Amino acid sequence: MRRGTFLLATGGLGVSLAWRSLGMWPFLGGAPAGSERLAGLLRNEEGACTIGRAYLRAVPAEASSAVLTARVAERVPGGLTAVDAISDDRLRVLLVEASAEDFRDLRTVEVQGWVLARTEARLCALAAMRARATPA
Amino acid sequence: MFADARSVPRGTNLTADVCVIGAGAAGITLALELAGSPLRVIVLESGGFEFDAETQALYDGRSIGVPYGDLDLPRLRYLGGTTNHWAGECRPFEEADFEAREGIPYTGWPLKKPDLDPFYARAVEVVRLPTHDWSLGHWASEDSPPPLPLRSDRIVSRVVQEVEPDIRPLGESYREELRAAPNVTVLLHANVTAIETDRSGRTVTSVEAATLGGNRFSVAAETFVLATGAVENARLLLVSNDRQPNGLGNQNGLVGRFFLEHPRFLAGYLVPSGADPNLGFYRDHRVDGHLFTGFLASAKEFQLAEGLLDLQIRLELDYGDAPDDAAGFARHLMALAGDIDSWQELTIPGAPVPIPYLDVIREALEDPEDTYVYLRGDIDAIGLTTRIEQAPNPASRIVLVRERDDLGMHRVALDWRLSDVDRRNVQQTLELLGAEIGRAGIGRVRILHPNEPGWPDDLNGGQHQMGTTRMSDDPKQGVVDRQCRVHGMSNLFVAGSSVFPTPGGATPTLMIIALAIRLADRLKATMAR
Repeated sequence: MRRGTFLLATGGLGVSLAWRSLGMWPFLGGAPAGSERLAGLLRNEEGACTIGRAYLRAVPAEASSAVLTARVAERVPGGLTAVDAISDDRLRVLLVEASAEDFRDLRTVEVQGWVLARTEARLCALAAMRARATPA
Repeated sequence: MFADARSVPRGTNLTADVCVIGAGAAGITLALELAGSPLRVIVLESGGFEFDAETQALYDGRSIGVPYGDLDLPRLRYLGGTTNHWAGECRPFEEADFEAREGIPYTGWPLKKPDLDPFYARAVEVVRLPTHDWSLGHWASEDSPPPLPLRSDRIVSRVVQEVEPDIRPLGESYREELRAAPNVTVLLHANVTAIETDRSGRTVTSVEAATLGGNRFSVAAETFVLATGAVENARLLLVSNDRQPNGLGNQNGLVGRFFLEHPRFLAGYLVPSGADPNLGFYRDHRVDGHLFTGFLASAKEFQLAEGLLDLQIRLELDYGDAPDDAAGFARHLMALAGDIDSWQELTIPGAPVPIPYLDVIREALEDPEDTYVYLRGDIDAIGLTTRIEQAPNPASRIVLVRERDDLGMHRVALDWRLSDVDRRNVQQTLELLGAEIGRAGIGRVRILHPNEPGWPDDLNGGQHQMGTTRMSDDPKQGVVDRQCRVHGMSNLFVAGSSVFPTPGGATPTLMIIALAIRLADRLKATMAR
C-alpha cells in the first residue's frame, strides 16, 4: 500500500501530495489578479480542491472568493495590492511565512482531521471555488 | 532462600517479622532491600519459577466498563511477576506529575519529587540503568539520530531508558541474591487467600495461604506488605472482610476505586514532507551501548495552562507495502535486484550473480520488515499512538463478583471508566502537535476521530494497572498514607502501583521500585527499634 492509497484507506482526503505542495509551496507561475492568482498557485489542484471543499463545508461563512481573498491577502504585508504586484517568488515566501505564523500562533483549522494553517486552507478553498466556477 | 509451599505441613503457622505478599517488581525489591537486615522476611509468591497456566488462571476476571481486553493479560503470576514480560521502559515522574492539577479532581500526590529522588537513584541501580540522566541533552548526542527539529518548546522530545532484556525479569536476574539471602525465605506456590486481623480489625495478625493442590497454612508476622499488583491488592483487601465488613482499609469505600491506566490508541498520523524524515530517535536504539527510545509530549507548562495531564506520543513508522513475512521479503528482494546501490553492501563482491552474505540472509529471515526498510528507506506515514495519563476517576474501579476461583476467592471485575479530560487531552495535544509539525515544515498531522465522543475501537490499556489503593494523607481521599500504610491499620502496608493517586505519563515500574525501596528503609528503621 502506498502513501496515497493509505490515506484513502484510512478515510482520508487522498490529498497527501496536495498538502505536500502546501508545505513546500511550489507555486505555479502566471499572474492573474487577486483571487484568481491565489487560487492558481497550487500545483496539485485536485488535492487542493478536495481540502478546499472540506474547508468550505466546515466554514461556510467564508464561502466567497472575495472573503477568502481578503483573508489571505491580509496575511501578506501590503495586502491585496501587494498580492497583485509582487513577484511569484516573493509571494511564495510571504505565504510560507504566513502559514508558519499561523501554526506558531495556533491559527489552525481542522479539516477532516488534518491540522492545517488557516492561510493554506483558505488557498485550497479558493482553488475549490475556482474549480466549481470553471465548466468541465 | 527459596522454599515450596506445597511442602509446608498442612495447618502450619509460619512466623516472620515481615511478610511480603507477592514477588513482582515491588516484592522482590522489598526482599532485596531487607536482605541482610536483622528482620526475618517471608515472601509469599503464588507461582513458581516458570509460567503455569493453572496459576495464571487465578487472575481471570471480567471487564464490565470500557473494553479492556483480558484482565490477566498485563500481569504474570510467577516469580518476577509482570517484569517477566516487561518492555523495560523507565522514566521517573517529573515535579509537575506530583502536583494537583487545577480543574482535575483528585490529582496530585502527598509526596513531592525531592521526597523520592534518593529512591529513584537507588531504583536505577536495581534495574542497572547506566545513568540517572533522562535529559534530552544527554541522550540526543552526536551518536544518536536527532530529535525532530521542532521550533518551540510546546511539544518536546523526551526519552525513556530501556532496561537490558536480561535484567527485566527480576525474578531471574535476582534469583541468586534471593537464594543467598539468609533472612529471606521466598515461598513459591503460596497463594494468599485472606488477611486476618485481631478483634479490633486494625492489626493484621496473619495471612491465610493455600496451594492449588489443596495445602493450607498461615503466616504470622509483625508487619505485612501487600505487593500483588493493583488488581490483586484491592481484591485481597476486599475479600478480607471478617472484621471489617467492607474489607480492610475500606471504611470509606475507596478500595478498588480510582483504577488507572495509560490508555493508548492510534490517535493520528504524521505524513512527512520528505521520504525520509529520519525518525531513528523515536525507535529503540543505542547510544554508547545503552538502549533508549524517544517520544513526543506536550510541555508541562502547556498541560498546566490547559488543565490537562501528561500524554506521550509514540511514533510508529508505517512502511506501507513492507513485507510481513520471509516469503514477502524474498519477493521484494527480487524486485529490488536492479538496485545496485542497495545490493552492493549486502552481496559478496565479484560474484557472477548477487549472492547475499550469510549474515544478511539470517537477519533478513529474522526481521524481514527491518531489512526491507533498510533497502527501501521510505516511509508512508507515521502512526501517532497516544499513552494518556488517565485522570483519576472514582467510578473506575475493581469490584468483587460472585464467581470464585479454584481457591475459593471471589473473582473481580474491572469497571474501567475514562473521562472527558482524557478525551480532551488527546484532542488538544494532537492539535498542538499538528501546529508544531506544520510550523517546522516536517509534514502535516491528521487526527483520527477528531472531536468525536467516545473512544475508538483500538483503545486499550497500556498494560499498566494502577491506582486501586491510592495514596492520600486524608483517609477519605485515599486508602494508604504517604508511608504506604493502610489508613486505619497499624501494620499493613501496600507496595506497587496501586498506591499511585495520579499515574503520571511515565511507565510505572521505576516508581514502583523507588517506593518499595523507600518502604523497606522505613521498615528497617522502625522495626529495628
